[in-house]
Amino acid sequence: MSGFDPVIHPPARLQIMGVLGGVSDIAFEKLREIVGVSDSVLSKHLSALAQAGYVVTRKTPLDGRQRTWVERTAKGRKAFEQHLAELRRLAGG
Amino acid sequence: MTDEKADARDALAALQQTRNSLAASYDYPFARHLAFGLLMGSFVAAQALPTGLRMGALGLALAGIFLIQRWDRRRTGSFINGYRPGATRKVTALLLLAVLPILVAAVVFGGPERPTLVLALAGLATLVCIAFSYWWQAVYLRELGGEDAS
Repeated sequence: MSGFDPVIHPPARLQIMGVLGGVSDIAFEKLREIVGVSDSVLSKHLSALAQAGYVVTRKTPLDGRQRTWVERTAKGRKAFEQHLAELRRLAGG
Repeated sequence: MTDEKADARDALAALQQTRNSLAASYDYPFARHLAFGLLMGSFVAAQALPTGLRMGALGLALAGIFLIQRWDRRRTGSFINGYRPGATRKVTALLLLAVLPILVAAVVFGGPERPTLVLALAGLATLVCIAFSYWWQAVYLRELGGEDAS
């Protein structure tokens, strides 16, 4: 069965999932900076990934203000690994 | 080259570029490695204290874990768990294998009656953990920059 995942495939989402694989959690602002998209675009992609159960977000106070933290779920990790394997297969084929 | 193949290669290249950006933003100064080493060393040093005080000291050391997490989040905008899956997990396992005998030695051969020995073992644990912390960082950065990017 193909591991290609249409939810992850859009470039920004692939990058988001890649970054989340490198950290336990990351602040929304930091993720936006690394992926290089606007607040609204990042929110849209995170909503789509959250709807698929691939990421979760939570709000936690830090230095007196609420900040949004994003982390990848176990389901998201598995889907990303399968998608990555499929991309590598296609790239090598 | 087919479009499918080219698209897949472009996607993988973009992904690697993003992970390189993450690696470039990763900044653990010496103070962070030292804090981790001292935190782990304090678990060993606590064995030199009488039981009641030891519990208090271990409680403070546990609070130190949360303070380090908070420091990381404030400084880097992210937190990376040492037990995360990936190439770094082996380093974490080896770290535990290296530190546990030191802790056991402090409990069995040290204790409140031999504070000098316990403090020497705590110093050793601190140095070992600082070294492992640098090694962990190197493995982590290599992972971000390599193929094993899941």
